[in-house]
Amino acid sequence: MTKSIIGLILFCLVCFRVSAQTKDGIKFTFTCQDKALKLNEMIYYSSNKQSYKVCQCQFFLSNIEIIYKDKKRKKIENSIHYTDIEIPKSLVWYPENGFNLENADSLEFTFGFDSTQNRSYRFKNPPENLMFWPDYLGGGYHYMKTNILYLDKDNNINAFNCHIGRGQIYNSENKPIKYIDNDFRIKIPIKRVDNFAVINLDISTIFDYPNAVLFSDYGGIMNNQKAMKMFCENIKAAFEK
Amino acid sequence: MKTFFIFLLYSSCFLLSCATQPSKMSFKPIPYDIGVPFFPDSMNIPENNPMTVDGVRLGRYLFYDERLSGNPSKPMSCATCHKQEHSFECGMEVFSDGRPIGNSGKKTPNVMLPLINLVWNNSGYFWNGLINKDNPQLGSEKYGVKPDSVFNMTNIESTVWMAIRAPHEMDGDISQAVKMIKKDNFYRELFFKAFGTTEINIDLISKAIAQFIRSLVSFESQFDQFMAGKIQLTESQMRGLMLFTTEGADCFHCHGSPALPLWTTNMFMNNAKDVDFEGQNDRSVVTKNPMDKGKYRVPTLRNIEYTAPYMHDGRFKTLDEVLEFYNNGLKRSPYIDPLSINTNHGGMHLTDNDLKDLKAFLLTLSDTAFIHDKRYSNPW
Repeated sequence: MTKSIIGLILFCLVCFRVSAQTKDGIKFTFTCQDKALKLNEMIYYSSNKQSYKVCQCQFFLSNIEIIYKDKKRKKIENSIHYTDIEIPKSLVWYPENGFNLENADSLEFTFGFDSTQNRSYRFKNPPENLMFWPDYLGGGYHYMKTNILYLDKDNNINAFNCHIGRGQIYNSENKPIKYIDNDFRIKIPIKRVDNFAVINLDISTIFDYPNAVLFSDYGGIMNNQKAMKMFCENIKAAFEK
Repeated sequence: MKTFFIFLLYSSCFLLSCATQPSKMSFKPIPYDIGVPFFPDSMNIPENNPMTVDGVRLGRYLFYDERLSGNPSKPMSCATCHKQEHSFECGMEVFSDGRPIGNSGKKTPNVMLPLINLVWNNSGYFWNGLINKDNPQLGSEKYGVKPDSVFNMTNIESTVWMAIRAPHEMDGDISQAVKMIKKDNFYRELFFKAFGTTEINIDLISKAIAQFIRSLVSFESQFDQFMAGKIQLTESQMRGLMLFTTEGADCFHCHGSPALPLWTTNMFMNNAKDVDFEGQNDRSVVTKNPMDKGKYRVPTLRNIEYTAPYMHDGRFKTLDEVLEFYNNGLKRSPYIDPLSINTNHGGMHLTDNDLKDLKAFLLTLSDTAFIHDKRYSNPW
């Protein structure tokens, strides 16, 4: 009897260990100019030859789907994920109901949220609630905050914020009369490392491709739909790279 | 006769037990409900000090008790400097630079931070976040306090023993303070109701005061009433809100918005007011990261009207001076926060009318109900 109980416990422990080992997840990584990103080091140059350092990067992804080789899709339920380069636990994500990476071919997700999900006041707690997007500018949340410091032509230090969220169309009195959702879908081939599908963001691409940015043309861009649209093109390329 | 002696023995035992535990049967802690539905759920309440109605009540008495300094010739309580009418800062009436002078004659190194809504701060207390959950330090050589788990530096509880010992605060003696509180029989029942014991020590004194401080909640400002649909704001106040929450003034990234109703992110930031950081007691002192030079905790803008002077060193006496600094006085340094995009051109460069509107909005964050709330006033 005792032997049976011990056997059962050992069996359970082995099963638990195996299941813990095989749980699949998503890992978020960052590169800059094709190498692992080094935060807070003034070592990068934009294609417009401006020296910069990356200080912060935070973003939301949502509606994540795994596409398998047989074209079947697995939608990850309630999949809104917040990633903050400075919060290690946000860089690894095990979705609530799990998913299997075996025979997975690609990963598709929304950058930010779709219009129905992007509701003000849905996040009450930090760090997610710190991503709020002001109601006057359309409400909801920032899809992304990427903050850098760069040197201008006189070698002065300046700040540049690539903040993306809902855009605005203004009337002649400079009042917003219409809002535009800037979310978009991104599809990337599965890059698998151990039990993780890796989503990498190449920060330098945000500033270089396909649109080369001159930081000094901007300060913030939250009320500049044209700029946000342009950065969205670059962000898509930065995830797809 | 024998029966009489047995009766006497039992009676004595009963009376003695009553003397040490005044109401043993009545220790039924009732959880204290902070209850602000639109504030975050993530509160900073240590597991070993849950808030109870009686814990907060005891803490209130202790907060206002001048015997806490442990020095009858120099009585001082928390409330000596933390004044309710100033959102539990000292104001400028007595100390014109906002930096109180302690019992030793030393000034506090920085101006005070308001004691409001601290229960929602999970990123560290004091201007530089010295008091935080990850601080392993026990005791203080500087204050002559031996390393002991009671004398930690992790939460609001820690600020009590520090305040008693700090030369720029009470400059007192912890054991004397405990003795003086113990002497007052009035406290025995309060301690029992709060903690289920009549034992009085610095650990429980700290816990009770911390509970009271966590209960200091401001959520009824004019702006809160506007958000609840109870009142309208003026056109000027609305314009100020618009400026505040756009990159025109760009206050919201650090100080919040209606979606972040604490009106602080509780983060540590360098807001471009200095270029020389030599000798500053800033965030880098805690993190040892040189990139954190000039960083200080972003203070709440709730009750900003009552909490002059402003900035960690109190350099600005009025809100107008603060606004003028953000409008034209931002200084570049390698340590500026990357969010401070207005530093690129020296400030916000708003018009006088814009500044008036911005100020009008800031004043809607004043919570008069809080500063007159009897639950927070002197109970003695």
